[in-house]
Amino acid sequence: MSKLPSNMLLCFAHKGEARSFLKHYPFQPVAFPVEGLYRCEASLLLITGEGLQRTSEKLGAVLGGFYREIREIVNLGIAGALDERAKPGEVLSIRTCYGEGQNGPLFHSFTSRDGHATVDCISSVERVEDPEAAQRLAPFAPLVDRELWSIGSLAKRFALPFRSLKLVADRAGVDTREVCATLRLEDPGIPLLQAFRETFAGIVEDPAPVLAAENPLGPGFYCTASQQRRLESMLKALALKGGEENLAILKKAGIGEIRQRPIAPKARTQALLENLHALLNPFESRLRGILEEMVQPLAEAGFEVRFSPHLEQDWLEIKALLHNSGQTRKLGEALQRFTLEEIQALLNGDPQIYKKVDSSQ
Amino acid sequence: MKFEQVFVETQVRDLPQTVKILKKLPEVPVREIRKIEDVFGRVRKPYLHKRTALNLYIGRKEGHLVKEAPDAYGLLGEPHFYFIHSYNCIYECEYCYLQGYFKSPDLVLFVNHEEIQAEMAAVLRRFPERERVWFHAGEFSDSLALTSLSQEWPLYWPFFEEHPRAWLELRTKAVNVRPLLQLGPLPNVVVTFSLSPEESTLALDRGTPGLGNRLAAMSRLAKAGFTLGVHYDPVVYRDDLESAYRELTGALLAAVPEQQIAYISVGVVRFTHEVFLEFKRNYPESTLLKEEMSASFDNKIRYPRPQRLFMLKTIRDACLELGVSPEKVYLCMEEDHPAAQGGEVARTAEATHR
Repeated sequence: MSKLPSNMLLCFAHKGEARSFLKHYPFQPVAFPVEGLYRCEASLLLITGEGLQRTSEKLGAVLGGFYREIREIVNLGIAGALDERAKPGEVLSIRTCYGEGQNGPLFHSFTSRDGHATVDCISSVERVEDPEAAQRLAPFAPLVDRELWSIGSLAKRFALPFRSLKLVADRAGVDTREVCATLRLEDPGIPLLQAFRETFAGIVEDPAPVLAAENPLGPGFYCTASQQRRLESMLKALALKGGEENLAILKKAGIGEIRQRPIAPKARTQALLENLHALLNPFESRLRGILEEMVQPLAEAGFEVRFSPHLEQDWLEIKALLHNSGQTRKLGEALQRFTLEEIQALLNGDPQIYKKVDSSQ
Repeated sequence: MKFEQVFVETQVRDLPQTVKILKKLPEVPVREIRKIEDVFGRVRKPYLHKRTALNLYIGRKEGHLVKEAPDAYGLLGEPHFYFIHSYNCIYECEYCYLQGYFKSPDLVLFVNHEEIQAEMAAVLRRFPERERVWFHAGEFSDSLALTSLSQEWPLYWPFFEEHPRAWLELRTKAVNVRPLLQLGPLPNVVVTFSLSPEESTLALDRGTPGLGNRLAAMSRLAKAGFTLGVHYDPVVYRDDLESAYRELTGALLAAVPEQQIAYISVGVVRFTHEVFLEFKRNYPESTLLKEEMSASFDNKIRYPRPQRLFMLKTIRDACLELGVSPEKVYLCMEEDHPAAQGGEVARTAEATHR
């Protein structure tokens, strides 16, 4: 007996489709309000019943109860061919699933994690029992089933990847009834089990999901939820930019020095985020450095200078609280020592001023 | 390019243009449908399915066939319109706004060209005093990439010959210029190419002809007497921006005499929020993701204003220094549009961004 990959939720519409799996692996029923749930070591198996609504109800309940231990959903079952692109008897891995509701096609589609799959499937709201119904669905996909769209939709909602292996049972709308009867006698689970084992034979399991650390930066730092989101997104972008590991990036951003600063842990995180931002945005941080130098006379005179948000406009705001004529004089002198035109030339991207700044540095 | 299926609207099934297109696709299964909208865009088809499961739709465009172009489209002061004769593109440029536009990457060819031309004629009548009224063909598709299949330009040439005030801009990255060479140049037709430095082309313009091939195609057209235009769009920041665009413009001027270049437009890479999400999903390892772009005043993702203005002006200066006439270089500057100061944001150069 081969080992069942761990932390999976196997979904079947009918018990008949799951029979081989229940025999091959030591699944045991789970006491849960939803019927048809089995467990084998760290994996689960669910019989959803037929149709989009039943699948949504049962799978939704199971995911609500067990999603923390599920790493992937695998749907296995039979599907009907809508045209010649799929041949009865084949087992196909599904690329994208589409859906059909009571009023026509459902807009959202869901793509499986199998990057090599090339066949799509549409889940119909009713059984396809005549050629007209098959013709209505065929423009969207070569295969039809009754469940996969709900599985894709719930997988997305729970941020879980999914796969689907479908045994092409018949030409939908042409020979559906006879083939269903055949399937009651034969065991569709056998080719599905074989395809399942082949699919997962060469796949190295992802490492178990790691819960985000409460404090990813270690002692001396405190991250709010939004800071943590910013931190993660900037680390990802910087890794893409320089191909470096997180630790090296944090070192470059001065985490060691910031840890020693006599400020609050949250302020340390803020300082680190600012450094990461500067690493990620060298043009902007250089520009801000130059601007800071240019308004230095005003800062030295004790006045606050503010630029437009994101530097999207070429003005600057000077905040001055004047108590006496000495301060008025100071402001006047400071204003004389800086040139607005140069600042505006920088903010308006004048290449000449950038060259001038470069040559003076 | 291989289509998985062709969908044909019943109403155009027997039109000569449809028959001509289908003749070129003898192996592809054809499915008749009532309306393109019954299938195209009804479900969200992932953009990257275009690599393996591309469908073709042939039908009749309804509604507005000719639409007013955004203000910054082309040189100022002239009326600009675009006409819609196809949707989507065979190429896969990572920054392309089409990846978030139609909810399907499938190609659509409209075959009611006579109706499109009738609407163009009506537009011309609205501007009797104007010397030039522009009609752009590359809004939702590459103007030349599919022309061997769609074969539409021979239908448009007589219109533009007959209406010298109507100016046509074709916009392409394709090098398939033989159909145009067979038609010959017209004084009021400008064939424009989107160009970037070679490294950017290789990194971002998946499946498109390389820079050298594009320049060679431009050279062939120039020698045949065509007027050409250039779109340096989208520009991506690089430390050697000035020298890269100086080199590119030098190569351009070596391929095409300056007198035959009608204009060079320059635009910096930018994304609507929706397209950016789609782009990240499709190309999570793209070099564009390491750029200094963030959500701007209008929620579009772009470089900070000083940086994008620096880029535009640096490239303009490089063009001028190499002898391009100043009036031929125009910058797609969204910030100059009054709408950018608040309120509704202009579509401006977004539409040119392919």
